[in-house]
Amino acid sequence: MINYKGYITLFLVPTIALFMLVYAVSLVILFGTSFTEWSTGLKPMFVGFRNYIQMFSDDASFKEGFWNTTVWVLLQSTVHVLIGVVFAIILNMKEFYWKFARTVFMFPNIISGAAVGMLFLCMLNPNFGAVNSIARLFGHSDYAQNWFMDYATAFLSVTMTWLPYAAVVTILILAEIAAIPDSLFESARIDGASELKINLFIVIPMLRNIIGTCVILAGTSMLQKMDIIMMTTGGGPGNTTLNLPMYIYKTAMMENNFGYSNSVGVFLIGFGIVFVLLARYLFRIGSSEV
Amino acid sequence: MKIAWSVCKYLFVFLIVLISLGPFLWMLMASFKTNAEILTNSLGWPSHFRFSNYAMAFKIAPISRFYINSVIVGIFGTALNLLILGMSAYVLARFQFRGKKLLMVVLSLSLLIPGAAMLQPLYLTVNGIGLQDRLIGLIIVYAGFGLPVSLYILSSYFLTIPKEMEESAYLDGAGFIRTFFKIILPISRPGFGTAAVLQFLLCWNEFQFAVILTTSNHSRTLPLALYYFKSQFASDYGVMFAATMVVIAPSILVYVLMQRQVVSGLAAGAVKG
Amino acid sequence: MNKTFYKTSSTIAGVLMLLASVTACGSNSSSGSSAPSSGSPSASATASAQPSNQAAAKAPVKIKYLTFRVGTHASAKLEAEQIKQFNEKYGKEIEVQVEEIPSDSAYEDKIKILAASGDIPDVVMGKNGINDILIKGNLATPFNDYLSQDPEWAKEIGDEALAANTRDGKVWSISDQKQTVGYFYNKEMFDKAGIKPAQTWDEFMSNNEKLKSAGFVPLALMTGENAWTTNLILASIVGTSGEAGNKFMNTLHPSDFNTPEMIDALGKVKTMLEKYTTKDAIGAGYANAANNFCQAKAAIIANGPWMIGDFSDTTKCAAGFDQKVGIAAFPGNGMISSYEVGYMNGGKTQETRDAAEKFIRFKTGLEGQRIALEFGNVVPVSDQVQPSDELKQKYPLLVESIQVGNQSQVHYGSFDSIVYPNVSDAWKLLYPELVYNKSTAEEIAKKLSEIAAKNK
Repeated sequence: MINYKGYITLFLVPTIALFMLVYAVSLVILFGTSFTEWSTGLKPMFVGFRNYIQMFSDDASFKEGFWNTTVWVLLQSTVHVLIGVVFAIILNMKEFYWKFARTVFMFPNIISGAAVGMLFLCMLNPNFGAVNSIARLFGHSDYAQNWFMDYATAFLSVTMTWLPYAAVVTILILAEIAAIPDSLFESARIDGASELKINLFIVIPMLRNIIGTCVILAGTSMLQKMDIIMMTTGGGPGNTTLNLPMYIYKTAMMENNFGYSNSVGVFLIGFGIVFVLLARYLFRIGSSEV
Repeated sequence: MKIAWSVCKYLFVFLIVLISLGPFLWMLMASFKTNAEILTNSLGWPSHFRFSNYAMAFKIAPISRFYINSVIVGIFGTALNLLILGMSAYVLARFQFRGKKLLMVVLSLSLLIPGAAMLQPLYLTVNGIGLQDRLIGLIIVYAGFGLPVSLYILSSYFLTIPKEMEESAYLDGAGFIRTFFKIILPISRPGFGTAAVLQFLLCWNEFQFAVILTTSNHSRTLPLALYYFKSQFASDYGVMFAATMVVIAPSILVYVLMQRQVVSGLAAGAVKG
Repeated sequence: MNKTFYKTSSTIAGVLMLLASVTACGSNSSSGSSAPSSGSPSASATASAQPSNQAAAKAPVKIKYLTFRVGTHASAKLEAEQIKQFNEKYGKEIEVQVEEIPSDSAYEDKIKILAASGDIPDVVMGKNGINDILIKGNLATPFNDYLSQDPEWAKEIGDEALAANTRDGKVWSISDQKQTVGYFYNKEMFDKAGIKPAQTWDEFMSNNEKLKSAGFVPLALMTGENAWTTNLILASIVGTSGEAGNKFMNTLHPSDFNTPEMIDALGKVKTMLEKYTTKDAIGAGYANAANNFCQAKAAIIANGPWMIGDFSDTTKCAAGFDQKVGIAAFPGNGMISSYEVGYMNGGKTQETRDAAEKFIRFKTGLEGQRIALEFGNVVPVSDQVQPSDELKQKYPLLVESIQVGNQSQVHYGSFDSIVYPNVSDAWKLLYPELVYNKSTAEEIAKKLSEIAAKNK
């Protein structure tokens, strides 16, 4: 083969430049100041590993936030992706509703997070919210479940504002299915395989790479999720729905403790790397042999 | 067995449509209601269809101005992102070279940096290169924010393209760049279509960095307009939802248009053997 | 095949060209914004109110000002009017570059980012802990010199308001408004329940019970956001509980919440949240509580006089609702009476400092206070500013509220004005703990102390 090295460099340079521009400074400041005490408007002071030690030894909120984040990452990379994949496969049967359903499913993803938060806050209001109003129609005339604030339902309610909305997974999978040669389906059909079997044994194995990608994207999105939580529960009741991005934001912007907040940020990145590497390994992402 | 499967399938589709369409329709209703109506009876129809919320939305916030800015940022932010990431994703998916794994991990970091930790460094960077309060600043930053997602989507799509496609192009005497633009890009439309949708939505909806990186209404984007109706002691939900409807309408349009791209990939897919 | 290639590449070339043109346009439009400060630093801090000819000849001094009072914000109108009138008067010498930041929290975030980057605007509203950051980082200029050069202005603000924002003898900010907060009540409901505004907290509680048995929800409370209407009552229970409690509510940045007064007050508020409020109070925002009061779904809401305008706004309340509203001081004749932090001077050169001072002087002087009162029902810091007859007719309740304020005897701050911002942010997490019996009042008090200690 020809020597492509020059071209490879040429094609990589713009991305690397973009990365340096947008992320490099943040990364350097993030790692550097995670070893300092740094509050807004003052100079950072080196304190060694003190922030990290405090984080692991003496910070109940951090532990709760980490636990919630982990649960959400796991749910999002499994249940959420599963919903998206199943829906994509159903849509791909191209029954009468498929275009309509595919478009409608995307709606909640199109609305910005803050508006989604407001919307759910209104819909789940214990007094006048749509959900409780419907429940009252079915006879519970006094029904006033406080979905976002009751300890029993807060975590679930927040989760439900994003877990079922897997339209992104669905469109990714649909695009990938579109790339599977029709001849494969036809030969399977001629062999008498049922739709279910074709999907299970032909389609899904061919989607390995993209499902892995979805798992990574969906899982890591939970390492950034903040706007909806902020709008609905603010992390409460107690710390029931606190996650690490929210904790980082609060520590930096409310307590003016940039140093500590950045240590938690470094930890979160480390956690994310482990997750990404694990997913890449499990799904053998990057190898193109099917 | 077959009936059970059908019932499950339709139930699933019905539920998905319900939870997707329900909130949207609720918001559409709310956009015609007064604040008091929303906060009193959220289920019912509006007492009458008042378009005053929509009129107010345009009156209170500089929506038309922000609209133009958002369109520019959305289009160029998406184009820049797809061009740059399309090139690198192709190379990363197709070729083996030293340091590839490391590069992939480093680029993956962009998926993981908490937004709150980037606010101040990015403010310094963008100021430092003189792009504060300029649309081009937002375009570059958003192209960067979409880096990991586009990279993953596109490289995963490139992996589905059989190697023979390029090999035959090279045999025909086509060069590297020409092969990429002529052979690879056209058959990757489904991948680019999905990446474009997500990137466009990112540009269209991002709020926090838009506030930090711009100072004048000449360079601000639509998400800021929504917050004109949500202040601590005087939130007007009716107007806010009306404004939200105005903001999401083009997103829906873009999505529907892009879907054609995704579907037309079907034909391209048939080319591959 | 060739066709597709050219099509694609020409599209990409087109996109690149467009991109380049956007870059070029951008650079043109934003040029010439930061004029270098030429000439000698003017020391004309007390320049006469009329724009001098000399100043008119020079290019106007540019100062930056960020405001969150935009859109539907209750003070949006007064802000626009103040800036308009300032420009009419001083527009030739000073150009105020106003940056609108919709939403209060986005404003706070942005100022903090700017402070961390050493880039704060010339005029800053020091609310919610921003003043602490600027003072600690030495990023603002105290007003002492300006005030001593202009005793007239100092008088217009008043000693009390100045003292409220003085630390170690330095006046760091100029208050723009006084918060006098009692509570509004629905007169119809009070009549039907046969009660009058309570004199003691025991009576307040028995009033609640009477309202409840008359079929009304007594209190419009909320614990979301900063738990505003709930905390006003909490602050009043503490503030009227005697000397220790009153001192606590007049202390800036209290560190120990584990006091008998605080614990007792938390217990009382717990009862109110459990028995005497709407079902959505836990987690509700201000809009919910305000709506519950305006729609006659609750009898009492604690809030400041800026709400008075809403009562006659038919998109918020039923027509004629303003006739039904009364205003009262809290039991023990107590009222929240605190001065807002107001404006700080962040100018970096003598020139911009002077210009910023002039802008702040206009906003906080008699003219500015008058505009704030007429356009936003904001209680002025000075007694010299009285509502116009027109305003009195439009909002009789405003007159009443000023009277009630003057007659009240026990004064204290609101929690938002005394605690650290991270404590303000914690109420929404702690109230559900209290009400759902996850923590006792003592434990909540302890947690509040811990949160306050976390502040940097």
